[in-house]
Amino acid sequence: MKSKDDVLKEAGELRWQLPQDLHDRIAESIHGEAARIAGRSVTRSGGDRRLAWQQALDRLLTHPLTAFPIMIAVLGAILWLTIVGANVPSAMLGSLLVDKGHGWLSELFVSVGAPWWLKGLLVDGMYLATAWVISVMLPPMAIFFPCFTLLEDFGYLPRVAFNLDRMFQRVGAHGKQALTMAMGLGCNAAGVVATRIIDSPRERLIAILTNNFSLCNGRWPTQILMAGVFIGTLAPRGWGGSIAALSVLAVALLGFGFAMLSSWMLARTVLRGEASTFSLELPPYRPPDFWKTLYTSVIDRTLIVLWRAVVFALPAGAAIWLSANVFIGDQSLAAWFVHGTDPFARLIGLTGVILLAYIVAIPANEIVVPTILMLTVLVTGAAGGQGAGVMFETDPGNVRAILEADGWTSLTAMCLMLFSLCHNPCSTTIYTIYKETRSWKWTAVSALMPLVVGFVLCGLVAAVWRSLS
Amino acid sequence: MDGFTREAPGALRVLLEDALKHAFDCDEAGRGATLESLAGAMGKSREEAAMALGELRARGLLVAAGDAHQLSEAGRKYALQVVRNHRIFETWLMRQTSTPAVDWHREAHREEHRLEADEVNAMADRMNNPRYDPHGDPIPTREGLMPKRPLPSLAAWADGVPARIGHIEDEPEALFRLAGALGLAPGTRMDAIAHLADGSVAAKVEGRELVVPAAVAGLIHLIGVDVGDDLPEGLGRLSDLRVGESAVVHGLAPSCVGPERTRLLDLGVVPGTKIRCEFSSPFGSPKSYVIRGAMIGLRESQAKRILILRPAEVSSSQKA
Repeated sequence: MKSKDDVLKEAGELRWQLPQDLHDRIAESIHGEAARIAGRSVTRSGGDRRLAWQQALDRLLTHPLTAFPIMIAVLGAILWLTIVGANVPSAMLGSLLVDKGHGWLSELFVSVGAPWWLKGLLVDGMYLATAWVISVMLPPMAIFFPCFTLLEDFGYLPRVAFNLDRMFQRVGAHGKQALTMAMGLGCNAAGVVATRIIDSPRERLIAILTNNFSLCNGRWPTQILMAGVFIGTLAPRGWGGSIAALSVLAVALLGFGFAMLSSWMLARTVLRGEASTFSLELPPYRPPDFWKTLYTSVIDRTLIVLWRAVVFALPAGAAIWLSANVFIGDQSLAAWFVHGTDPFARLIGLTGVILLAYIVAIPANEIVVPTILMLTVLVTGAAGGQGAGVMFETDPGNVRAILEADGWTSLTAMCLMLFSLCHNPCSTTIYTIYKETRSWKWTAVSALMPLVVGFVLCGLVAAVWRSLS
Repeated sequence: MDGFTREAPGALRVLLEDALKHAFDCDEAGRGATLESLAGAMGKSREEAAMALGELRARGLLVAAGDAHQLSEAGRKYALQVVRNHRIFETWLMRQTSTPAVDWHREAHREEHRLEADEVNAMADRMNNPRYDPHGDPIPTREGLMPKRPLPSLAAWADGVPARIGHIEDEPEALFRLAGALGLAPGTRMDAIAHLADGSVAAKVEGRELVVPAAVAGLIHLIGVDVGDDLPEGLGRLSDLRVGESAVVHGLAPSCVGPERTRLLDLGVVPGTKIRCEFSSPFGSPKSYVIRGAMIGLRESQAKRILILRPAEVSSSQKA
C-alpha cells in the first residue's frame, strides 16, 4: 500500500511524460465531441447552400472592381441625404427656437423687469447656445443614424468592414474600425460608443483614440461655409461650387488618412501588439424592420447624444456670454484673450478669435461659426451684430465682409478647415471616451493628440503659403 | 493595457537574481559559475560581478569551490522560483493577452523580479498549472521540481526521422522572430527533414515545404514522435483553399495560441467540421468561410493556422 505522498510524487513525475500539447488536444476533442453530438441531434431544414441572390450580391459588394465605387457611392448618398435633408428641419427649428423663442424669452424677461445681466446670462447665453445646438444638431443626427442602422440591419456594414480590413490590418487595427469611423462622420461620441463591437481591448482603444479624425456632423457646417465663402472664390468662374465641394471632401479624406496614420503610430509605439482575435460575422442579408430601426436609433443614439450635448451647451452658453460681458479694465475677457493670443494664432494661419471660439465651443462644434462671428464683431466693432455675447449667423456675403474686417484671407479659411478637422474632440466625446476607457490618461491622449497635429499642420500650411506668395 | 503600478524591484534584487539564474544555468550545464562567466553573461563589470557573487555567498545561496561557484540547496530553490516566475508569466502573456511573441521574454524578464510566489501560484492555478512555457521549456512546479530534458537541435537531427518541435530558444530576438514568421512553434510537426549543403534544413511542415535557415535551425530543439502518430496525406492549410472549394478541418496548428485559439474553437473550427471558402475581400484577405451554417470572415494569417484535409481528387488536381 502506497502512502498519499508516494502517489502524489509518482503522479508529479508521470505528469511530465504526457505529450506537451495535451491540454490543446483535450480542448480540441471536447469541442469536437460537442459538435458531433449537436450534429447527430440537430436537423437543419434546407441545405447549407446559400441562396443564389445572396451569393451574387456578396460577389458584387466585395468584388475588387465594384466594392469601392459602391462603398463610396453609399457613403456619399448618406452624407448628401443628411446635409440636404437636414436643411429644411434645421431652418424650421432655427426659426422656432432661435428667432421666435429667443425674441419671446427676451421680451418675457424685459417685461418682468429682470436685470439686464440675468437676461443676458440666461437668455442670450445659456438658452441661445442650447437652441443653436439643438437646431443644428438634431435634424442631421435624426437622418444619419437611422440610415446607418438600416444598412447595418440589412447586412451591408459587415461587408464594408470585410472589404477594408486589409488596410486596417496593415496599420495594426481592426477592420471593424471602418464602421466606427463611418459612425464618427455622424457623431464622434456615437462612434466611440460603437467601438464596443471590437472585442479585443488594444484594437478597440486605437479605434477610440483615432475616431476624432472622422469629420463629424457638427463640423461639416464650418467646412461647407469656409469652402463656399473663401475657397470656392479662388476657382475660375462657374467652378466655385464644385471646387468648394471637393475641398470639403479632401478634408474628410485627409481625416481618414490621419486616422490611419495615427492608428499605425499607436500600434507601433504605446499600443504595440498583434490582433488578439479576429472574426467578422457576415450575416445573411435580410430586409430591415424600418420602423423598429427608426425608433431604436432615434432613442438609442440620437437622443442620448443630443442630451449630453444639451447638458454641455448650457454652461458653454453662459461662458460665451460672460466672456463678452465681463470687463477687466477697459476690455472684456474675450478681447483680452483674443488680443493676447492673436500674434501666435496669426503665425499658424489662424486668429485669436478662432482659438477662443474653439475653447468656448468645446461643448459642441456646431456653435463654432456663430461664436466666431459674434467674437469678430465684438473685437473689430464691425456692424451686423446683435449685441455682445449674442451668437448669430448671417448670409455668406455678410460673413465674408465681417471676417475680412478682421484680416481674414483664403489662408485663414484653409487653416480653419484643417483646424476644424484636427483639434480636441467636443466635451461630449471626451466624456464618452472617459466612460468607455475609464482612464484619464487615454482620455487626455485622445484630446491632445489631434490638437498637436492641428497646430503643427496649420503652422506648416501657413509657412508654405507665405513662402509661395 | 494599464501600466504596472507595483514598485520597481530594487536594483540589488535584480542583480542578485540574475546572477543566481546564471549560476543555475551553469549548474544545469554541469559546470561552475565563475567571475568571468558571470560578468560576460550579464554584461556587467568585474567589480559588480564580484560584488554579486560575494553577496550571494554571504546569504548562503552560493558555495565557492575553487574559482567556480555552485548553488547551495537554498540557492537552487530560489533560482527555480525565479525561473518559475519567468515561465509562468510568459505563459500568461501568451494565453491571456495579445502581447506579441517577441515581447514575452522582455516583459517576463522584468516581472520575474517583482512577482511573489503566491501571486505566481494563483496565476498558475487560473491556467490549470501549465507544464511548459510558450517556448517549450518545462516550468518548475511549486514544489521546485523540473525534469531535465536535453533535446537535440534541428541542426543535429537525423534526416528523414519525423519529429515535433519541443523547444525554441527566444534569443537572439531577430532569429526567434524569424522562426515565428516561418510558423514554427513548440508542438509543430516536421516531416521529411533533410539537411542541405549550406547548413539550412528542408522539411515538410504541416503540409507545406519549408527551408529553415541554418541559424534558426540551431535554436529549434526536437522531440521524436511515436510510431503511427503520422499526419494524414493531403494535409493543407485553410489559406490554400480557393473561393468555392470545400474541405474538412483537421485541427488547429500549434502556432495558433491564446485568445485566437479559443475563439476559433468557439466558432466550431474543430476536427471534422466542414468548411467552404465563399468569397474574398478585394485585397485577398480576409476571406469569408461558411462554418457550421454561419459565414465568418477570417484573415489570411489566421487561415494559415487552420489545418485542413481535402477530398483526395481535389488535392491532387490542385497540387500544381
